[in-house]
Amino acid sequence: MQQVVNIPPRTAPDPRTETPKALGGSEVQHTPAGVPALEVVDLTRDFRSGFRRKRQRGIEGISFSVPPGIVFALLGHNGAGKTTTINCILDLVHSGGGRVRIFGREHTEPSARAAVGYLPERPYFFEHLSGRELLRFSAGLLHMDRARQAKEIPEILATVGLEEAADQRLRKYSKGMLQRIGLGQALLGDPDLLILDEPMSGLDPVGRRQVRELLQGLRDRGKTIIFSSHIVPDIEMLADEVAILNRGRLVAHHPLADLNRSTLYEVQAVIPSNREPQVLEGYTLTRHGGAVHIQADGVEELNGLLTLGAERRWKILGVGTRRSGLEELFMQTRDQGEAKS
Amino acid sequence: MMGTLTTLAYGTFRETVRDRLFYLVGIFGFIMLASTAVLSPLTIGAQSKIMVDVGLAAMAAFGLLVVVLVGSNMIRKEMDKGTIVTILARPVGRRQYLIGKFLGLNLTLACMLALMGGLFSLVLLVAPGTFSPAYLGAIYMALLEMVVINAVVVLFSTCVSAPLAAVATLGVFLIGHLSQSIRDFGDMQGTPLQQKIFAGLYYLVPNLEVFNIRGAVVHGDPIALAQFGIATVYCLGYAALLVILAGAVFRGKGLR
Amino acid sequence: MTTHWDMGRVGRSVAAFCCLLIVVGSLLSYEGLRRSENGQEHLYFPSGRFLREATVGFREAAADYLWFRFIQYYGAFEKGDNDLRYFDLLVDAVVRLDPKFVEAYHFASLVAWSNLGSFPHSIDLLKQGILHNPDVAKLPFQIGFTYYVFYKDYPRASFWFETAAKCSDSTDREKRFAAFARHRAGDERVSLELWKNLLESTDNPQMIELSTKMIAEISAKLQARPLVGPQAPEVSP
Repeated sequence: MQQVVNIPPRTAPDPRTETPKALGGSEVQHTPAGVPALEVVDLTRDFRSGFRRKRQRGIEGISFSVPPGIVFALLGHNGAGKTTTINCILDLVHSGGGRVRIFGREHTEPSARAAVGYLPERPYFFEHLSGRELLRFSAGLLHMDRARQAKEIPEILATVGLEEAADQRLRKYSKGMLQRIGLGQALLGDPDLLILDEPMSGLDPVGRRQVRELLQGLRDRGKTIIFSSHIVPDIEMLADEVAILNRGRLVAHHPLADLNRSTLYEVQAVIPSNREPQVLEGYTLTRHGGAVHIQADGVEELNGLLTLGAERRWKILGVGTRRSGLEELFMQTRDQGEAKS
Repeated sequence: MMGTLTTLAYGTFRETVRDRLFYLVGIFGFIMLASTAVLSPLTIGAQSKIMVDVGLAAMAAFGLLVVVLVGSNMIRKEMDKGTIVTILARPVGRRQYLIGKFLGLNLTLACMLALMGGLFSLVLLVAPGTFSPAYLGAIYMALLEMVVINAVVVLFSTCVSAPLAAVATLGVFLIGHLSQSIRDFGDMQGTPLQQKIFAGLYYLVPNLEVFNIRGAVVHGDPIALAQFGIATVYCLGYAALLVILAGAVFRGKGLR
Repeated sequence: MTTHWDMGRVGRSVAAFCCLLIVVGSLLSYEGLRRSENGQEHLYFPSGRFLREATVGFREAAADYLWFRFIQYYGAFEKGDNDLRYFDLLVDAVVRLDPKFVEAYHFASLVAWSNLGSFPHSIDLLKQGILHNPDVAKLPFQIGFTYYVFYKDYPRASFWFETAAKCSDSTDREKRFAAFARHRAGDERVSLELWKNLLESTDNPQMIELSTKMIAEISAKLQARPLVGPQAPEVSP
């Protein structure tokens, strides 16, 4: 049974971005207010495949803007173009057109990536290194001095739960451990923008929860998080905004709060039968054993129902999602895409 | 930038060391000892010459082996496995990455040659006292030659697969030692255009004989200090040119 | 199950043993085939010119390897397995790869006169070596020795011994032989000078004693001889 996620109020994000001196920046640079953390305009990428190097469109015309301090999700089925979009943003592949700016800087400049922490979809690291050595190596690439490394690396290892395995070679790490050390190296340097490609992939339920809580904590600290997933509930729990990709195109972009309005929730409660209120008339009810399942259409109706339940001292057993607004939209866009093709 | 290069170079060096590459040094030591103990009855008075020849040739051959096998796979392996992505997602330029890998392999070669040179000198000092400081010059020139070959393999590994890069690099090594023959062959051609083509080829291909003073040091021929200077400048210039070219190619390469 | 596993293991062992038998049998057959050829030599060997280009950058080491081949070839000759018909080919390959390989010229020259019975061939090899190694005393000394011992051509021998004595690595030996050869050739005056030269340059007690004795002997001879008279003719080498 899933929990409803109420989006807590956020503190104002810290707009400061640190740029290493060696890359031409001052120690601390203030990003002007209003500069998006990420701005993508008309991004396009083609692939060439086969013996004749036939051109195939990978992504086309993708545009979106991510303000600082939010959690932004890229949702799409496998092969929709999420990873390609992320690779283009980070200049790991060359885009065929369009513009990308990270905190106002062109994405092709190495200095633009100074404030970015990245977790790839299938993290592969140098197998001959230990977890601690990998973090030191990454810290070296960020020009972190030894004192700061000595402070930050143990903290990160504790955060991702790899203190005991820190000195083991990465070739001995399980998939989940690799995912966590990948997250750890992404967090190095306290980046203002985290780009995570399928961050929950390969994790068991405990690991998924830990990552979720970690990301929620980072969001609360004002970090901007962009993550991709094809798992709707993960996005519902974490994201503030969601962009849906289908067959290489951006087909929808909504704040999650808007989508929650059309989500159909279900409250399970134990209501004393002689006190069943008439106020429940008009609601769709079903009885399962001693409990009543009441459907609420949208988050406002849900809040109303919960308030009513508290007043009338119902025993609330749980709240779930019958039909997610995001899931509905995702299915709609997918079906539209298939119809067009 | 220097911090990034140092981190990448040291990372590459550590990778090759943990790949147990330096076991080659042990094999080299064994070869040196074998050439003295086992082969000396067969040399008919040429023992010291043969020891020095074998030692210097083995160092050059092992160096070539390391450059071709490790260098051809260095970048390609990281691209295939995806480890390159986590590096280039950092504030690291592609050219910086290439230079860092190049410097790292050079560091490995220098350490290997230093260890082998030390073993080599020790064996010569203990055996029929044939050590000469000129041998150190030959080892230095072998290092310069390997630096050039390293730059060649870095260029090829940005364009083609690892096996192809290895074969192509070996090809350049062979041609590099035959470059004078190319020039002589060109001079024998009938038309000025053909002569110019071969002359162009001569300057295009690295002339690796510039670094080959093994014969001279074995026979005690004098070697002008200027030759070391010219070889060093030639090595640095040629290697820099190739790395710049490799950077231009690598810039346009997709990594995923 | 256990039986099946054992049969598999036995099968693999038998297969491995059969392969080993095949390998050993093939080698033995090959050896037998070689022996049955009754000393016929089959040797494909590329020319020295080709090898010089093909051994890119490793000429000296390749020369050393061929030197080992040559030593083994000579050893096989001593055992009666060949008739040295590829002697020239091998020597040519070695010295083309490393023209400064002095020992190759020297040993090859010894083989040429002792086993092939050809003194001119022996001298030609040494002269070829001198072309590439003009400052090595060993090679001209060997020519001089050949003329001195086998041809009894003392004027020519003295020329070559004196050439050897002028090399920077020459020792008392070359000077001594040069002086003796001049003496044998009848050129007492030059011989006397050479002995005096040796006496001045040596600090070996035996050489000092010998030189002193020869100087006294030749001086006495010269005093007894008229001032003008026949001298040893100058000959070309």
